[in-house]
Amino acid sequence: MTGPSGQWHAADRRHLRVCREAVWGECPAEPDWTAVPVWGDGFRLRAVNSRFSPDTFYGGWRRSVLVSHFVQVGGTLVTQLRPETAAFVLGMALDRSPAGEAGSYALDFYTPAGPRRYLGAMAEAMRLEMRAADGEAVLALRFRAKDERANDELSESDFDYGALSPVPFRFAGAQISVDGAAVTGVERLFLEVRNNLAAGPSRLGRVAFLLAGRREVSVELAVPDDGPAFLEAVRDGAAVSLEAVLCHPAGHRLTIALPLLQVESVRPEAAPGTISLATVHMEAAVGETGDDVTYTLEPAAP
Amino acid sequence: MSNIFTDGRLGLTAALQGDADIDARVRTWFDFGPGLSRRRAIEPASCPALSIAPAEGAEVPVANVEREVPHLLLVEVATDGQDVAPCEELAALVIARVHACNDDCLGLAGEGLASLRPRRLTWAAEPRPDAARIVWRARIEVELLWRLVQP
Repeated sequence: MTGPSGQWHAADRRHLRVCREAVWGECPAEPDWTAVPVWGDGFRLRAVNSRFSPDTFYGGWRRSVLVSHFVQVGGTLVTQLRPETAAFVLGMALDRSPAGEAGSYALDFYTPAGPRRYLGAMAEAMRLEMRAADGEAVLALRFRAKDERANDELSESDFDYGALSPVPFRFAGAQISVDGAAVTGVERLFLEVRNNLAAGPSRLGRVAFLLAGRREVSVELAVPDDGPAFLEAVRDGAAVSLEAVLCHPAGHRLTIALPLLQVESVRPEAAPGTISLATVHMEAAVGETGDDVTYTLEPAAP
Repeated sequence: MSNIFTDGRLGLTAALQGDADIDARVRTWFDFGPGLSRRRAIEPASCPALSIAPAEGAEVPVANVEREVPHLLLVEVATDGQDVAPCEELAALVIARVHACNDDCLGLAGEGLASLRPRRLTWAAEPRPDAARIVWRARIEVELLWRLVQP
């Protein structure tokens, strides 16, 4: 019987920092790292080396040969929005260059057992969940990356959370307008962004390229079922606009705006003994401002 | 030495004492600060009385480098006489004040105070064998939720 290896650890010894790359798949010579707390068990980025067995019956009825496709890297990161990191974290999924290109990022993930670096990570999708009941706002990013490498130079002291506000942004409500009429009382709001990454074939055992495609933005919100506005919007195609507001007790304010939404469906929820809710699914289009979704961070007055 | 529990309790005490409506109604404050020691017995003559005391705490890890500390304070309101309405009014004022303080978190967001919420409210009439009148007491549990990032 063997004892522990000395690398057993709890989640508080796992750390993440992220920096933007200038060239896809290459960590800058002088990286500007941002330490990002991982919410819950929310770091699932990993390399997968999937295999296939040639369809030749070579070796008989047992799989004597397993061939590697190539190493593909992907997974999710769950975190919360803070005044110091919100623009950076949202920008990973939402920012595009004038030519429509999405940014790529290098991630250092430290665990005592396997410190590693991810290169060429691009946000494939984003899901921001906001709840009115407790004000919680949780952001999940799904990445695809070029490579995962061991990074034995990493240590716990490389991660500095000192500049972070201990309190994250809280969901403070949403202003919704259906054909100019205000709708109030949002209970839950999910904002989803899909960047539709196109992945290349294998090149030297890694993905050859990742290219962001056409962005799809959708919103799902749960509101008390107290009027026919959304039902009529499904039937008549009325335009909806939405502004979700997140506040920070120190006075910072984050606004996420979707100027033009089309209602696809309304799903009623009416469990016995509870207030009936309408879950509204909407898809975003580009509004008069030329944007489908924007975020604005207003720092607190000094 | 500064710590979140003392800062939170003193912050809530100052917020309640700073509310003109509450302060005008309360005759005796039991804030458990330094100074002359006195008995905490609620006498009809000291009513309306308001006491703020620590009640419960916990620590829950929520992220790799963050933990949540729910800090429960017990705010007790006592009024003299069988009419419960003054006790209800004072309890309602305390709850409204706690909700109002949630916006700026008593100015303690930088230390990690993320929210304040009234959690539970109970009332009890206390008939005293040696007293001619009863004392109504309302116990309001106020949760101060702290979020702490490890250095």
